[in-house]
Amino acid sequence: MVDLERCIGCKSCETACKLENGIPMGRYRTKVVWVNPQKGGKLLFVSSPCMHCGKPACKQACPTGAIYKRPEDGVVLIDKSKCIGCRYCAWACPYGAMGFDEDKMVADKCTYCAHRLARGEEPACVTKCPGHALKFGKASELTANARSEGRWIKNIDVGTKPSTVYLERIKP
Amino acid sequence: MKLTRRSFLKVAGVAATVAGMPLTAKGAENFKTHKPYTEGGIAPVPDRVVTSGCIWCQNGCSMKVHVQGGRIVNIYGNPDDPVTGGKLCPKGQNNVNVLYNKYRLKAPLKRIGERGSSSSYKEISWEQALTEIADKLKAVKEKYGPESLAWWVAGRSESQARSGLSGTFQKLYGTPHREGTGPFCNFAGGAASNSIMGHNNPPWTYTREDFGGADFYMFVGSNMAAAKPVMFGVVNDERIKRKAKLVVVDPRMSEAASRADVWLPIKPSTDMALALSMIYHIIEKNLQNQEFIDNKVLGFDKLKAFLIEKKYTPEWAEKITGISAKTIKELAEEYAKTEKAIIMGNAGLSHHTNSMLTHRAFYMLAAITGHFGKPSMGYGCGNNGGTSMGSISVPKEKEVKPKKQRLGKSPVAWVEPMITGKPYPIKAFMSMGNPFVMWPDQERIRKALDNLDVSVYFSVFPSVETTYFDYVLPSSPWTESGGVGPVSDERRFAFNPQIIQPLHQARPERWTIIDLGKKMGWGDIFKDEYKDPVKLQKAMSKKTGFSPERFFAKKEGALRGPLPTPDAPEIGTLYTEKHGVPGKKGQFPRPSGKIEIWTEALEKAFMAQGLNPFEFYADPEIGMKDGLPYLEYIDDDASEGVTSQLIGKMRARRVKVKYPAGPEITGFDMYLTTGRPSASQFHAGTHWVWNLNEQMPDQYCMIHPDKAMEIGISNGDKVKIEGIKGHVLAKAWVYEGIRKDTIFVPHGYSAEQPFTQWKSINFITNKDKRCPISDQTNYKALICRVSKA
Repeated sequence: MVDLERCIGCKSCETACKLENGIPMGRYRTKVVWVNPQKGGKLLFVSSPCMHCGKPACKQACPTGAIYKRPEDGVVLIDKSKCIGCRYCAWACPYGAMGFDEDKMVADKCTYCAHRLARGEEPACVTKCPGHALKFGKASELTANARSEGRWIKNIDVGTKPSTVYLERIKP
Repeated sequence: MKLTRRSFLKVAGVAATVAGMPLTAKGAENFKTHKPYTEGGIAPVPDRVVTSGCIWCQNGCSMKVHVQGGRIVNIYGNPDDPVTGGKLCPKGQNNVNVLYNKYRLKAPLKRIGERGSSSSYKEISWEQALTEIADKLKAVKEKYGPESLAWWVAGRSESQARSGLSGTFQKLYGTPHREGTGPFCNFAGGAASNSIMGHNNPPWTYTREDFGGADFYMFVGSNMAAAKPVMFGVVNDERIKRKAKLVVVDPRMSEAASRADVWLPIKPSTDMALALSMIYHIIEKNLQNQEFIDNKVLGFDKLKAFLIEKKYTPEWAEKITGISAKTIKELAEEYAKTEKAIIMGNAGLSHHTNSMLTHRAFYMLAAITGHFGKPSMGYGCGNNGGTSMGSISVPKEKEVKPKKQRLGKSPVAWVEPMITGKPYPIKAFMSMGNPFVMWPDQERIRKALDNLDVSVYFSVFPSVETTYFDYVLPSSPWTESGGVGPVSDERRFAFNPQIIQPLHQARPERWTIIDLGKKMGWGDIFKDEYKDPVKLQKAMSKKTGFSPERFFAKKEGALRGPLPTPDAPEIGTLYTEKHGVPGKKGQFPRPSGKIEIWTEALEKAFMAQGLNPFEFYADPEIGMKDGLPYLEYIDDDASEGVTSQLIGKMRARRVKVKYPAGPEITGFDMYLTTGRPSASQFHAGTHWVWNLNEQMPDQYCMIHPDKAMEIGISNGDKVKIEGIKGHVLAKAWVYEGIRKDTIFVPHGYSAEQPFTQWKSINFITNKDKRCPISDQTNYKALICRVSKA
């Protein structure tokens, strides 16, 4: 869950991801985009990891079946041994979340730190986030907590049923 | 911007494009040459986790360093730290990329050719370097006197070397000229606090119970979201949870202002007028806390009389600040009526010629409304320095007392004596920071080394200074070095164990100072055993509570001062009736025991330099452009001046407040303000770390869309910024959240950095226009014109 009000734009998540997953300069699995204020609005920061969609467009577009959704927790992963580097997945993803590893010539994206989840830890970006803006857990529980704080979920679904949830900024 | 489903996808699209965009890197600097140390794999599970502290900012975060096979593989926050709760910003994490960095200086260098080129240098041994430097330092002392050595102990080196051993060296050599980063940072805040509260530190601790617990926050000239991200994260979290109010006063909508309930785009240089008019309104409405004033404040009547005499009303302030009188009145009333209310200042107030008086005005505002004595209230400025950790003592007979008066507080005051030899020459210069990026007046500063007999530069990276100084000594950062990290805003020091051996031929600065001290003939004081940071800490902390044992007993590895005795307990909030300031007398350790807004002695001290402690003036360029009162300087840096009565015995400059009849300068239609580019940067050093540089790679010029349209520029265009001193280029960031008459250009960039190259904005800033009391440079209120490059 990404809280657009709590995010302070520090880009700690980008660094956490890079250190934990060995992502080099110029490449990202998650990126914070600063959106300029418009018409009297406020500067906005959007942290953008993979949405780990319920119906992943990348999975549907993949000609080799390299992309799969883990049944136990819904994490979307790439079997890099099957990937042929055609980049159809990157074209298909409506959220721009699919990157490309030019060293190995395969698709590359956020795994929610699957290796950390396996050890019972949270994704690196969530653990380190100075803004307390990133949270990880069961969607129903996180959503219920947010609602009890009077917060609203932003609808960003374009038909792929994303698992990453965004909380709207607080209305003045 | 309203983030609809469609526009969200646009944002996500930007993320994808940015990821694929070629970087503005020179030559072969791309991802292939800058892989993370994990070489494209996931970080290994550590075989050892060591508690350490971050070296960068004054958040002072405790960290967990992951070590595997003798190599540092990752850094996490320390979940046991009551202040940070395990959170960590990009800089803290990137300490690992400071260590394993291909640019690091690998051996001592000596200049054998012209200044300005790296090919003028040859590698020499440490033995040769330290022998030659010591010989030259001895010769300078002999020929010109000990006062001719100046040492800027800046940088992010550990505190034992920076404030401890260099101080011992200074006492033995006999120079008054040793200074840290304070005069470029927030020394004015601490000096103002000393003059009014009797101690330099802000009242609060960065815990949720104290700083995190207020109902009302007003940040003035403080972009805490970038300056101290972890603490701002807590404030923002608490704000949302408890519906606390956040007001941010800043000419631009900073990251912090973008989270605020109210953003007040004030005109640069005029924050003092805002504070004074808030006080005026509070007094007029009789909203001051009279009981608190009667018992604990001196000089209220003098303040009141002066404000009335000068008519510092909200209507007066509206014309100066650009904030409406109505808003000022509402703000003042809400502040006065809210008990748990915090006002936080920072460099946005300190980097002005009126810095000392501005900080004092906000202290007065907090004092007359009774906002001291309990947690979650008060006024304070960030980076106001530490409390004594102790030192290696020097026998009285060996201490050399300087005979000549120290020349100013700011190291910038050394430049003219270096160039002109007046009022007396400075002939030797050692520097641990980046004067050729961060000091004002870059053109002039570059001439300063030519007349010196010796110049020595300590550095981790081959920054521009390594092509100018005579000797370049490679420093070991952080866990290679071990030692104590910089103090946090809220008085905490973290102890860093030495985790790995120094790489290449680099050495901890602690070792370098000890070995140089030995070469100077002071081996009986600079003992070899002190190269071990734990042994040195033990020796330094004999009289204080900062012993290694106490550090190691804490889960967060950090101690909060003041700890004036070995068993002194750590105290939370300062200036409470119960604790006051440990080691000092009274709740407010001024001579009177009260908060001193005005006393006869204080007024005399200000008057000696030509200032009234309550009188508003703007920075010179602003004053000349707009016809506002500003300072004329009677003394310059090559003159004797008078002796400061407010910040310690040293040369101070006399001034006169000039009230111009009208505008005195034309041709410059914009205000220029400078500052930190984003949370990823800390001045020059972070630009040598690929992951930090890529988070804000370019020197940008934040400019309002109306102005951009007027001069025909679009987002991303190169623009030329011309000031009185010179011009630089920057990349336009067309941004609605800035005053139409102001541009913001960040500092810390230089033309000699590896990934992106920009001539520093400090080619425009002026070293001669400084606060006469605090000696801080005006970095934040200049005038300029902008055009398409």
